[in-house]
Amino acid sequence: MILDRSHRGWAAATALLLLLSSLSYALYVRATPGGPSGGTAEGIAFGAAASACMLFAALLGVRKRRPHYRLGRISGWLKGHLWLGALSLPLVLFHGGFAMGGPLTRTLMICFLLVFVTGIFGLLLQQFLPRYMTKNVVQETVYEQIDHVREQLLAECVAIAKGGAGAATHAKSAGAIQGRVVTSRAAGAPEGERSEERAPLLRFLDERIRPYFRSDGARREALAEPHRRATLFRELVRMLPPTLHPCCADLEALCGQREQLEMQRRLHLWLHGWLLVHVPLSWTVIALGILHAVLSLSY
Amino acid sequence: MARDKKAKDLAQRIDATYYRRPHWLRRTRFLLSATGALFGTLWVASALESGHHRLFSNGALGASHALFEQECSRCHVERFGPVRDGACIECHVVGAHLPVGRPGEPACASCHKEHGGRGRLDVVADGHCNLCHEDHAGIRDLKDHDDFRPRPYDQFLNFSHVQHLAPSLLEGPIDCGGCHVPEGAGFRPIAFAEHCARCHTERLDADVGDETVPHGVEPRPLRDWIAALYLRRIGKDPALAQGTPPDPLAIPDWAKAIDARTEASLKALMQPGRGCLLCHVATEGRIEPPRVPLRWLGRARFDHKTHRFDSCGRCHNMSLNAKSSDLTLPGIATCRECHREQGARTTCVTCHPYHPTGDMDAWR
Repeated sequence: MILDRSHRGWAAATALLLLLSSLSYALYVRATPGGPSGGTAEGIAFGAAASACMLFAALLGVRKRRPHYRLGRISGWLKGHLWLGALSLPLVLFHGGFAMGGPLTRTLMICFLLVFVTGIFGLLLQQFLPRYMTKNVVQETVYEQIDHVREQLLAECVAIAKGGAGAATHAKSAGAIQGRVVTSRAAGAPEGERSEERAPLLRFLDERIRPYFRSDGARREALAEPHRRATLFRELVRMLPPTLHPCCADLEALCGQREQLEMQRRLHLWLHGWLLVHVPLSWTVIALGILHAVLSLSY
Repeated sequence: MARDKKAKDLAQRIDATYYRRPHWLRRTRFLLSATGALFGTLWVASALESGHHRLFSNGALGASHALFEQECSRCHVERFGPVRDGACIECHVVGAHLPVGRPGEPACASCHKEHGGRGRLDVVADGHCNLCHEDHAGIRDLKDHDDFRPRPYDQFLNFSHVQHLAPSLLEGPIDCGGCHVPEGAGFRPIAFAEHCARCHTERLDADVGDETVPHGVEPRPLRDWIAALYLRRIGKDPALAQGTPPDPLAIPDWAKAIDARTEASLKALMQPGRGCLLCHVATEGRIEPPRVPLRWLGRARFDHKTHRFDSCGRCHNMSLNAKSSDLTLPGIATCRECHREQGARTTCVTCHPYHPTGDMDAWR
């Protein structure tokens, strides 16, 4: 979610709540000679407010799984997640009187701080990574379909290399997105073409293209680098008759798509990988927070 | 056969049912979330089961309670309720701050905050006092505190520290510790036999030899003791027995002589500035027992033991004590030399204990 003007309302409300809670805390500290603690009425109130903010933030995941519910727009929930989640940190600090407490509360606090830090990290990533992807990964596909699409691209490469001739590549532009979309004509070998003329192409397919498309560590392959890829294809073109040159261009374009898919995978991991820490720790905080509340109130 | 790939063909690359299949990122996220929540719950549950309640303690107990860190129920008697005073007075017997029956006595835990680390629980912030004593002559901390006002005690004693510390004494100047023997937070009371008798022995006339006058006896027994002393001397000094009358009912001369000698001795003992009255004060011919208070400040305590690192003269200028009424109690400015910010403690309860002890005036 990009921080833009649409957040002004939430930001103002959060700032107001922060101001009010800070004033309340200052008065509370002034009226409590022994220093603030989570066990006083005021401390419990701050804890309850922080818990409410955290629970609201955690409910975003549930809301996303029920998009058809008429409970406000998901973007609104996401803004609430962001701002109320941010507000929960000072409320938690006010609750504990800026002390870490015992082992359970200390663990809870560390987990919560990690949730907060990963959330900020994710927010920062979302400020520029989506734009970067839009600009640099024009062949972006659904992340979950990357492997599926990659297999299809490989099948196309095989088809082009084995029988494909006359493939054509042209550039398309649509809005700010520019890229090369391959339109290929898969056809049988042209008449009069000798099988040995196609041999370098097939060898290139087996030695370079297949490993590149199948390798999980595609970045290590020579075709992954645009300059080396161009060089390799130039060398291939020199070994092939002119009739097969369009095939080379198609294959090079498909390899370029493979590179973009790999870039998309990496960027996607950056864009969503932090959630592997943020979400599990959030639920750990919720679970430990409930236990902390019950145990603290019982004692 | 030619096969051109249009946008529709490209779109068909996507498997439209992909969202139904679990994705590793979402699955891992779910598994990690479940593991985290479960692990946290099991962690706390195992601590509850094994009795390691320290895990969910909100902080370490004070040093004096550290012994039963694991025994939460020692103080937390009731579940879902605050710690009651009853749990404290199981072990701690303290005087009430307010008069018995007067409502508003705060709970122990409201001042003595537990779970704040291994500190001292008896160190209570001034704010607790100021909650009620806000109009306490504007005193909120040591900086605002007036100088000490010791009570004008009449000690019924003539004593000069100046004389006793003078280098001209026969046995040399007396060291402070020669008389003031530390005991607890203060000193053992001065006792004549222990501290004064070595120099201040009072004898009668030469006829009765080296017998010293007993100290601390009432006038009547003292008179009897002196008379008995002279009577014993009759056998040794026949001159005292002369003039025995033939009438056994008549008072013999020697008895009159004993009476006269006894009266003369008593009179000598009670001469101003001599004998008993060298130190004591008499009213209507009767020696008043000295009343030297162990504490000069009734509403505060001072622990000499904690101040033993320094010399007596640092606080007490004994050269000013020419007579008993010349108090050498140091002023508050002397205290402030050490009791200040970044120095020794300055809290109210450092000097004014909340719970009055037996030898203190009640606050009320």
